[in-house]
Amino acid sequence: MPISGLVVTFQSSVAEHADSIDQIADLPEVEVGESAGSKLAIVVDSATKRRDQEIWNAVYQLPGVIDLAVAMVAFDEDAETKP
Amino acid sequence: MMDTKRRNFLKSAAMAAAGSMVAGNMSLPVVQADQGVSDLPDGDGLSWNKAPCRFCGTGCHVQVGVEDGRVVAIAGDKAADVNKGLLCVKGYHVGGILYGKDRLTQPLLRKDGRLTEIEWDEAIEIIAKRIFDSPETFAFYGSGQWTIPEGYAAQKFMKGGLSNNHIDPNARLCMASAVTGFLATYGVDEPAGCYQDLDECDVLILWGNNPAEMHPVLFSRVTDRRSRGETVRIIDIGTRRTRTTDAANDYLEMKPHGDVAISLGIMHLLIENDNYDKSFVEKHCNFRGDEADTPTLSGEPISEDEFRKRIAKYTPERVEELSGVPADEIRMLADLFADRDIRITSLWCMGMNQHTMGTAINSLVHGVHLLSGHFGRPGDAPTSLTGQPSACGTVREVGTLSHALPGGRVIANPEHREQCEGFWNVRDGSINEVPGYHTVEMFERFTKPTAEGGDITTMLVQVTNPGQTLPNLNALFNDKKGLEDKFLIVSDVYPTATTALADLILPAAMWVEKNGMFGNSERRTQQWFKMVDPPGEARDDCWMTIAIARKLFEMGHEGMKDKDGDFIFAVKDDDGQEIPIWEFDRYYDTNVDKHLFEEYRLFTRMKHKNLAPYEEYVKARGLRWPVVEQEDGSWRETRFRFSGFDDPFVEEGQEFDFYHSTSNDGRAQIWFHEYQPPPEVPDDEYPMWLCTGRVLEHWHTGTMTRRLAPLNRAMPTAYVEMHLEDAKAANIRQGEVVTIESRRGVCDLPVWIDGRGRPPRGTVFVPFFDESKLINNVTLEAYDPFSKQPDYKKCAVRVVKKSAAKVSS
Repeated sequence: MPISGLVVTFQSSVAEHADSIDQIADLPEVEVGESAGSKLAIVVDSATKRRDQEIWNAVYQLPGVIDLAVAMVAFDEDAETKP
Repeated sequence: MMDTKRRNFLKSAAMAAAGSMVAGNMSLPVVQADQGVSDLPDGDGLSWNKAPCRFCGTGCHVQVGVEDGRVVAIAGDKAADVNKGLLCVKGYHVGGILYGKDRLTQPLLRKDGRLTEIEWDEAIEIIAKRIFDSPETFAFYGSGQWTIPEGYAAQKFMKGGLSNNHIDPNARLCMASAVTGFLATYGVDEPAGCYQDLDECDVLILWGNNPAEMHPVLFSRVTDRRSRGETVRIIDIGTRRTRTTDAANDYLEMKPHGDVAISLGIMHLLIENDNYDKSFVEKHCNFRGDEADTPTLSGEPISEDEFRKRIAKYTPERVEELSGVPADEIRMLADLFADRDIRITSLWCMGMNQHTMGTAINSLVHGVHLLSGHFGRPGDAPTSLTGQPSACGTVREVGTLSHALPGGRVIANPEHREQCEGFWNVRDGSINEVPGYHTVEMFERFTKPTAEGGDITTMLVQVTNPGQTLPNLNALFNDKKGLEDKFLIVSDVYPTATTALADLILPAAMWVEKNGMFGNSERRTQQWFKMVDPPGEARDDCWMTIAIARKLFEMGHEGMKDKDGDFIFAVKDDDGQEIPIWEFDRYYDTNVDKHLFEEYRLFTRMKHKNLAPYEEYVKARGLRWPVVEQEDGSWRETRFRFSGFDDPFVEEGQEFDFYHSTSNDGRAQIWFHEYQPPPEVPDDEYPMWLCTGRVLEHWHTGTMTRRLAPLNRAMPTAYVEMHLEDAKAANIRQGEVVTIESRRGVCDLPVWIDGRGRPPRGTVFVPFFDESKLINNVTLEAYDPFSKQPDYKKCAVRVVKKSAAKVSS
């Protein structure tokens, strides 16, 4: 059940990527925070690590997103054993 | 499961951390440890403390959230100058690596083929007895994942205590050629510049380097500049397209070993066009070339005219033939270097180091920067990166290589040995004058029957996984007959390809389960404290070394006593009483790291790699050496070595001073090396090039990251990247499992056509993270003659459809 604070970097000013930000905001597990320049803060609170990864991938692939960095992550599940 | 209150608390902390990175000043100085965490609220038993990330050599700092003796949260550390609060996908998961369900928690001894749990006392006794009975046939193999105190203890134990130089790290496999390149050029190891060069360069040239995946936080410093409207031209010189290529302005696809020709071609044009930096060269450089008979790392001086004569044949057209890069692109590179109004940084890592001309290509790229004067100003730098968190700190600075001593001293120099014996207070002549076996030779000796000259019989491996990383594993590691008298001891945190063949397995503590110090790629020394207990009976690697040494001391081994008869690792309390740190329940009665570090620090002044007292590192997010005390008692780090505006060891008024010059005149060496072809090239039988490497999601052999579900799901298996036309020609489909065969072995892998990396026709690429698909059964153990570093980036293979394969792995 990870909670993560992420920083989304767009290729230009956040204001020019309203459609992508709307898509991020539509994700029920995501809370959109403040923005400045080309960066946007979001928090992801997902039920499983798999869902967390899906959201990560979905955000990364949105138009205009050039980087997705982690500011903080909290977790309470064990890591898995060797796959 | 977290309760709602705690969940909301952590969400607010996560938003605070992300929001502050968006809104905050991204250029932060080194600050006190208690700053930068103020916006990560403590509460509900959660506390935060700093640590460097456990993975690559970038040296990002994280804040580690601990609750009830368990790591529960990781945040990027805003106060850290390296990463300014950012983390990559691996750093994001670094806390989870402690909690794989198959952690090793008890020593295991192989009896009649089966692993049996034993107690630590028995394990230490077994090891000590084998060493006592035959100290000269013992070898210690570590890595750049050793902390600085761990590596220093291992070094002292072997070279000072056992008079045995058979200690080497796996860093031999990843950056030894960078070391010899720096030594040959400047007379002293490690980059002169720092990460600030990435913030200030106009042109970034990547020589066989893929930082977008391997050092993503560093690469983001450059792409962030672009997003702020700055212009940075990125030139990717590589043998395959990668994620880095996607961000590059120019992609120059070269043949394997093409980098040597390209660097020679740039220097040729600078000379030919008479637009090299004459003033810089005249004041600060000499020319050097290989001796005619037996080349050495020292080479011999040559005149500028001789240099011109030798390099004349490397015309753009000739370089195009050798490298595959069009002559006009060589001219473009030379024109950039001829422009003194721009700043150029070169970055490299494994591509130039895992190379049978590794020392040569490192020296040549330094030479391009020196000849053009693109050196020593912020943004003008030739800089190598490292893959392990303390390859610089523990291997290069502590000197845990078979030929080295701490602080840039070497075994071969009697004066250095004498100094070292003095610092250690061990008897005169304790340090053996013959360098030990380097990695490939060490494993050749260990895996050869004793009767046939295999004179290493007992090996202790800590913090690394040679059973997966050595080249040509069938020759150097895999199970063989006639080795019944050999004994392999492996300390690790999880079962690995190496523990699979171990006779004795030692469960190790990792990362914040112990105190530690690392040294990153920009000469930054970092410190952290133990935050949680290791599981079961897992213990610190440093403690293991000291406990073995103590057992030998008790058995009467003379080398474990100093000149005064005291134990060589003796630590005394304020009353002069010895603290029994060899007993694990007393190990943390004192800070052993601090004692070892303060002893090691004495060495660092010998070659201007000065370190500050331990407590200064407790306060900082790392300090870049040389760190020198100021008149007011503060300690100042150095960003740009050899440059008069920043380096405290450059004489007042001097613009540059290469004060460890091998020619003893304050000058750096511009080398000439002839191009040589790779040791194995494709032919009719094995018609394709194989290149191996890493992926974003997994760190090296994947022993930690493959235990993290999100990372493992994102990249669950190794694969072979293949060009569409090559696949079509062989009637191979996407996802089909094929056999990669070389003269040395085979490996079965699924095919990924036009995947993340895109090799050109005639080349395949395979990552090495997957222990179920050991590509190092296929690779070549040929190595650079000076650095002894193997070349994992090029050998000849064929790709065979499974139905047609002669041998199945």
